[in-house]
Amino acid sequence: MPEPIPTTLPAQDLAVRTRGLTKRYGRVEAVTGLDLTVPEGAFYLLLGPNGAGKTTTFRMLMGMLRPTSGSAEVAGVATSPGGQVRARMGFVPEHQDGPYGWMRTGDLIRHHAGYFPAWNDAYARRLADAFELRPDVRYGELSKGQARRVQLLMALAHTPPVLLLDEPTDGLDPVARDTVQAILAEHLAEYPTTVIVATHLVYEMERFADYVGVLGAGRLVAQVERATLQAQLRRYVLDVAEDWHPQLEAELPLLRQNGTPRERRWTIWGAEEDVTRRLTSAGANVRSVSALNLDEAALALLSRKEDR
Amino acid sequence: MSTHVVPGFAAVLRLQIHLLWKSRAALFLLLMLPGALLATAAAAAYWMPGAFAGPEFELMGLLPFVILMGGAWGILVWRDEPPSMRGYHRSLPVDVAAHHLARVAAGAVWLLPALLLFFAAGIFVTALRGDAGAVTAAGPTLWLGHLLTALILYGMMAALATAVEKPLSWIIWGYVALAAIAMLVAMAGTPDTFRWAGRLLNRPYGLGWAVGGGLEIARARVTAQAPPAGAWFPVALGWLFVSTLLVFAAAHWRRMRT
Repeated sequence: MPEPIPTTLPAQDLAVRTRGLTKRYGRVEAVTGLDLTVPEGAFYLLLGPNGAGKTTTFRMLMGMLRPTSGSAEVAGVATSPGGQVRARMGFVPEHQDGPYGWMRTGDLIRHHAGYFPAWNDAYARRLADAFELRPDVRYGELSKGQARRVQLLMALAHTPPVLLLDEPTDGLDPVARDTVQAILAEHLAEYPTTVIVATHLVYEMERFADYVGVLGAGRLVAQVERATLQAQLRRYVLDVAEDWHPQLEAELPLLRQNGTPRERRWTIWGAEEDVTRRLTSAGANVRSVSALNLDEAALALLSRKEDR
Repeated sequence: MSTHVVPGFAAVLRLQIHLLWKSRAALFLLLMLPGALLATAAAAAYWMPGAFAGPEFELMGLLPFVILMGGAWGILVWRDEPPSMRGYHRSLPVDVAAHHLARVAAGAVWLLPALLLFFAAGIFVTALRGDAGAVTAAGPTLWLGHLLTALILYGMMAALATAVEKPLSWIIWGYVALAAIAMLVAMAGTPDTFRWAGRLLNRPYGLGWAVGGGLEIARARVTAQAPPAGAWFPVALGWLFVSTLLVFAAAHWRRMRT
């Protein structure tokens, strides 16, 4: 039997844990039975296409959205409409309705700081300098990228144990993206933080990632350590006869296939040695085997979901 | 010990009071009614000298302003922030219900100096006309009446604005629905129903009495008439309690809707 693609992580100290987390809007299930496990201090990339349930998951983790069923725990606190969980989190939402557009940026940051007894003023000033924020400009007059930087500052400056970043570099120009990545790296080096990032721009965050979760249509398709993902998920280029039709589905978790009838490119989950042996014994000549980057891996895992 | 804790309610209340000031909504409230009163008085003095003289005007003429102040402010505290636009408000580390209550309480705090300014403007206007005697003679009941009226209406409107997306539509359609029901009841000829509806509005326990009773008592004192029957103060307090309950219910409703 082929090794299944893992959706649970080995037992360890967890910063975020959900059990059967489900959110239903009428007949539509936005998130279904989610068992997210994010180890303490991990950088966890949550991947998935639009509408996969990433933002809904974040809102439930924040206690801003009540789950239909299931439960969630963040930094040792069960999520609820009470504020305890949000006090331990920094949050950059994908879309922000508000904060107050009429407020000057400096006033908004001061207002926000008032809610966090752990706010680090010196650090906030440092971030403001790094982001080149102008405190006298009204928040509503900022460009999307500038507003994003303000949101990042507000999420980081109270040095929360858990950070939720929903498309954190969305709307930023390449220079600003680079700044954000550098600041995030500095922040993680200075303050022990568990980070969950939902992003389409996987390559930007790839270097940080320790764990990867892939959401497809509200379900967790995979949840795995990045090193395991990259070791187990490989692309095999096969030279085969045109009429080669092996019955390998039961033996090999084939996630994605393309190429031509004589040169097949298969993305398969499993130990490389074992997969190669099975392919060879089925009559294929394995010409090359290559690792996938996270973007490709996510796409492959989601393709498998869609095939079902 | 972790410093990642929720702020106390007093701190959140201070933040919300400050927020209303920064939004200039509080400034508008502070200036709105005294300004309107002074403008009305000036216009009346110019166009209809003597038309609004006497204790009747001095005492009762202020009531519509107070009703307007309380009701409008109840909606204005959530200006530009209907429930669907409270994402930032909800993302802050405060219990959802407590955070909503803090906003409404902050609005109530601003209502007090606004009323004081309004009263000062009222005294100023009557003093200018040389007949402030009625206001002075009415004593604290007049001011207490205004204060409770403003707070009762503020609470009711703030509860509505806390709970629903379009409070003004609810007011308009609610009024239309009530009018339609009243018409149907009248057509059906069931006077008992009217009697029950009347009890909600009139003496001895109705909202109308709670809102206007203090002024009626003050007027009776000034005009040396017999004071109207029925205890007003407990009724007004009772309606203030109802209004506060509505605010709590609205805040809890928002918590349930997360």
